[in-house]
Amino acid sequence: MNQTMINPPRINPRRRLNDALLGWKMRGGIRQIVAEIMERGSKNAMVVIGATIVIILIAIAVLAPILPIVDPTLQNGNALTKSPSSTHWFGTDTLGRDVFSRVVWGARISLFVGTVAILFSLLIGMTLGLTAGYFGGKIDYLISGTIDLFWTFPAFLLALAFAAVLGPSLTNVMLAISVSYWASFARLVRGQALTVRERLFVEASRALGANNWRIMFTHVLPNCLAPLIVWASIGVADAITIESSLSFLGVGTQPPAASWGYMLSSAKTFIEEAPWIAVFPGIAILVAILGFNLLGDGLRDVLDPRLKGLRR
Amino acid sequence: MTADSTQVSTESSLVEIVKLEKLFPVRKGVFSRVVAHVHAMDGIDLSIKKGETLGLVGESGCGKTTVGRALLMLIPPTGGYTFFETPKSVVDNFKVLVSVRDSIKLGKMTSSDALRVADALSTLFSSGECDIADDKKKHLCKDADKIRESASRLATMSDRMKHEDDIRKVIESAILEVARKYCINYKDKSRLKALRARMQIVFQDPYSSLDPRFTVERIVGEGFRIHGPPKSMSGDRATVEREKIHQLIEQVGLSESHLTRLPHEFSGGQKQRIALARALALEPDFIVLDEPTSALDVSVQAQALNLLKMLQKRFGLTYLFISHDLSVVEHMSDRIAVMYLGKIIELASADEFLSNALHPYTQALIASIPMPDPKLRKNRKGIEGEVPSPINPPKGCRFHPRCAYVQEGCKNIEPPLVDVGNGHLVACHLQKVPQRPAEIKTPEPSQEATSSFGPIRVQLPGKDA
Amino acid sequence: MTSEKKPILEIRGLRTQFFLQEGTVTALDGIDLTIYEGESLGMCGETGCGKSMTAFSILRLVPHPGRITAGSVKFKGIDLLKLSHDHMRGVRGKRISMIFQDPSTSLDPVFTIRQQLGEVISLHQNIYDKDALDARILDALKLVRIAAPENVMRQYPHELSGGMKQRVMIALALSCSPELLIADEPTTALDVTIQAQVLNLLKDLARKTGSSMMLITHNLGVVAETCDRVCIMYAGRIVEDAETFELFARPMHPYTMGLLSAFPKLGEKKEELAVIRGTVPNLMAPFPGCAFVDRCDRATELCMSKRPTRVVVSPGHFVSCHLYPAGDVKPNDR
Repeated sequence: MNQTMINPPRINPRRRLNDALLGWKMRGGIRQIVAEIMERGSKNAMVVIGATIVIILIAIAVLAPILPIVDPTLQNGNALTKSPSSTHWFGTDTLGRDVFSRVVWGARISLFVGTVAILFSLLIGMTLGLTAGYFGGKIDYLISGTIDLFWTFPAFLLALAFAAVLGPSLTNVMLAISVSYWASFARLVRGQALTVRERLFVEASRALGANNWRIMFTHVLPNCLAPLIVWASIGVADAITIESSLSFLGVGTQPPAASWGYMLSSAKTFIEEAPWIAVFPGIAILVAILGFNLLGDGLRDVLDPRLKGLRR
Repeated sequence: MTADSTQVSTESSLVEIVKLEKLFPVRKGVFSRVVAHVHAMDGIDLSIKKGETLGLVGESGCGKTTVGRALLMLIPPTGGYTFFETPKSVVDNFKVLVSVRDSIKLGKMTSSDALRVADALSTLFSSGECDIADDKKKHLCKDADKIRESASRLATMSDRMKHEDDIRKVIESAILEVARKYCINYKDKSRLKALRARMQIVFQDPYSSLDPRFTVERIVGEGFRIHGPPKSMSGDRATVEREKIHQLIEQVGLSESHLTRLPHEFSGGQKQRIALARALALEPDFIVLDEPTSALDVSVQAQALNLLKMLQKRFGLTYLFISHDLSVVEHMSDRIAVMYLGKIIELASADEFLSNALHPYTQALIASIPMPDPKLRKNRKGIEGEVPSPINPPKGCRFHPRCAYVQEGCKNIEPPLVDVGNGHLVACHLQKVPQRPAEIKTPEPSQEATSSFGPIRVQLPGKDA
Repeated sequence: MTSEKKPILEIRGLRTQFFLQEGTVTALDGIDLTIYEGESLGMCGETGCGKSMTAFSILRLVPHPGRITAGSVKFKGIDLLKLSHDHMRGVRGKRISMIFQDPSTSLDPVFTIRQQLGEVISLHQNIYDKDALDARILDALKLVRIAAPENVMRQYPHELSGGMKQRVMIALALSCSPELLIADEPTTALDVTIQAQVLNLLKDLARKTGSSMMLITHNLGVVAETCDRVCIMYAGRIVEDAETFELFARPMHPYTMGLLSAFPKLGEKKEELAVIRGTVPNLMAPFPGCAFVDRCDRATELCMSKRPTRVVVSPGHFVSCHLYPAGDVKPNDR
């Protein structure tokens, strides 16, 4: 007799997507957003400048360990407080450490803190906001109340408080930023979800028999993402500011790790004699914040009117 | 109130609606107290036969959109019963039970009513029509016999009130049993999901009824993600789905190259075709068309309507065609129902409708339509007064404030929907109103249209309304 | 039939274009139009044909990035396109006024009806005395048959129904007795019974005040009921214009004929509606010939290469179609 019927192979939907010859954009969903950004963003000056800065920063941060630069913690007794020269591009500080390499490694810290903290709060905020906005009713009431509660915490003061209670460390800084930031994201997503769930295609999905989870994650969420991307970028800029400020005050990154803020604080007494120790980290902070802000603002121009002007 | 429709047909209808009701609460004040209700649907009775197109017309606020959505359980009704593919005898007996229950509530029950109840109960439960637990069945049959016995003594009973109440309780439990088994709005989620594949909807606004982030292929194929691959074809899942999607796209007049595009690249008419393809994917028997062509240009509308007719013939579909445009409805429908402020006030076949519209509102509606022929230019005045709001509708006949033929009785008693012959139903105290274009009434202060409540918040249907 | 009346608005060769990143959209491509005193003209066509843009061009309200690039709009001899901005403002609202489509968005929600009407009246008629102004406002509201005008005056737009809001818009538009009233789809957003009321109102008022009316709509039934003359537009061009009775009795242009048969008429038993195949052309791509050529069953080689000129087929009836080669074009009739 015949073998038992062989089940039809479970086709991996991802494989099917990759089979498309017409490129990412034609596959809708998240890929569409990415492709849209790349296409329209390349025409927008702010996006281009911002993205360039961000990409360079990320590259520097990621590649720092393998770059041919001096160890940032190495104290060279022979080169104390030297002004910028060909061997030390940004000069050295009072302990003989190469400022250039410390700036490079500082990028690593700032970006790490910024992106991880924001990513974390993004995930929490997005999930809670989506749930609140989509389901409404009591769930919304509860979550909105929580959002309102956390909304009032200013990230900076919270971080100080954490540092005071839990001791100063990078993790605590990230925690503090996340705790206060998730509320903004949640609020944003909730607002979007409230609008999107009223759209007819959600009802059409329901008429097809889709359950709530499917509707939430395949229909509502992708339509909420655009403003989220903008805010996330600006949020990273904010997070870098906070981290730098905290390190400046001494409650963030601890020495000998090279954080820009800490470099600034240790250089402030020498500003007149050895300005380079403060100026370069200062510029680095400026550039980083500028880059992320530009990217965010540029993306806002690219994504928002695009969403509204989809007709004709 | 009761649709005393003596249906002449012998076959069962595909969709049957009994006293469907949807009230939205209106909340006001700091504590969101419910001060009034929006009577979107107030006891609707409809039956749609397989293969026919039933047109539903009315102006804004009449509740026609709500009917379509409530049928598909996109808006859960607050009362009433919807049946899908239920045997005729079950539905007819069910209607008897419901009508007698209402009579009891009004204190107007007669002994013949009791006999009808008894017969209905016996038919439903003893003959195995309604498949419920055996012990419950026996119980109900016994009750049926008791009721039959005491029917003749009803008028002379001393404890008549209590007896009627007992009967009412029996009726209620019987209704509940039938509803649980057959009614769409009593079904639990899993059974409802299976039913959804057979009843679909096409919306009015093509721009927002398609997810702007989904490709056409994904939109049309969404049904398969939820219910599995189309059962009418065999083969491995991906190929079968792809084939079916291609078929659907071609059936609605688009081409394969459109599958990978996004909705915003299409015109309104094309978007409606995509929406139609999506609705047809699961091979439904019944489609609610909620103003499908109102947002389209005339020439595109013509294409869409022809397509709908063609598909109906080809697949044997049943349509509920909702629109405010009487010309389009008349073109598409076999029978037409007119709604006003949450009630059906007239129902007739399309021919009968035009030649013999009986309700003054229907007549005025027909007279208000601008005809594309200047030779037919008359001094049509329409109906004076504003379209009233469905919050706290007028007492008695809901149309009486605007009716040119209003009488005293119209202001207090609501006219029932009665059959005047040929399946033509009207809800008007003056059924045989001579056909004249609506006359001018002196305009009344249209205070109804303004909200004397001040700022009010109407709780619209959310997910868990 | 038409020669005794004086023309109040003469448009010649009007061209309006939108300069977008992706290309140039020619919304209006050389419009020739005349409106006479005291008559109502219906502008009929489908979405994108340019009928609303004609109205905006007349009033020079074309939104950025659009511009009027050619032609003249003579209002009682004055070329509106050559007026200064200040002079144009004097024309708008006072001599030519416009009613828009959606009454719920055309009225400012934070002002009462009295304030909105009062603003327009006082600006254009220089009445600043409160009582005189109130009297004028009441007159305007009574003119549009609003019941209990004293109450309505004090209300805000959101407290009124759609039909009433549209009447207020009409009152606003007519408050300064304009010589030309442009109504852009005034009844599309209204229920059919209210629509009949509003259209009758418009007709009566136009007749009473002697102003001309330009009614823009896509509904041929509305045009048949209300207008003296009809103008059919397609893809930014006028393809046919004639008196209403004449147009419906003897449509000449294939598009007009197609439109008339595609319209479902009450009481007419048809299995299928006649369809105009194809879709509206892309206004960004310039087409040298007739715009309708892809969808016309009677297109010829000539139609693809040469643009048809506007010719007279009978007194007062003009068509732009190669089926009717150029005959005598009497300059006075245009």
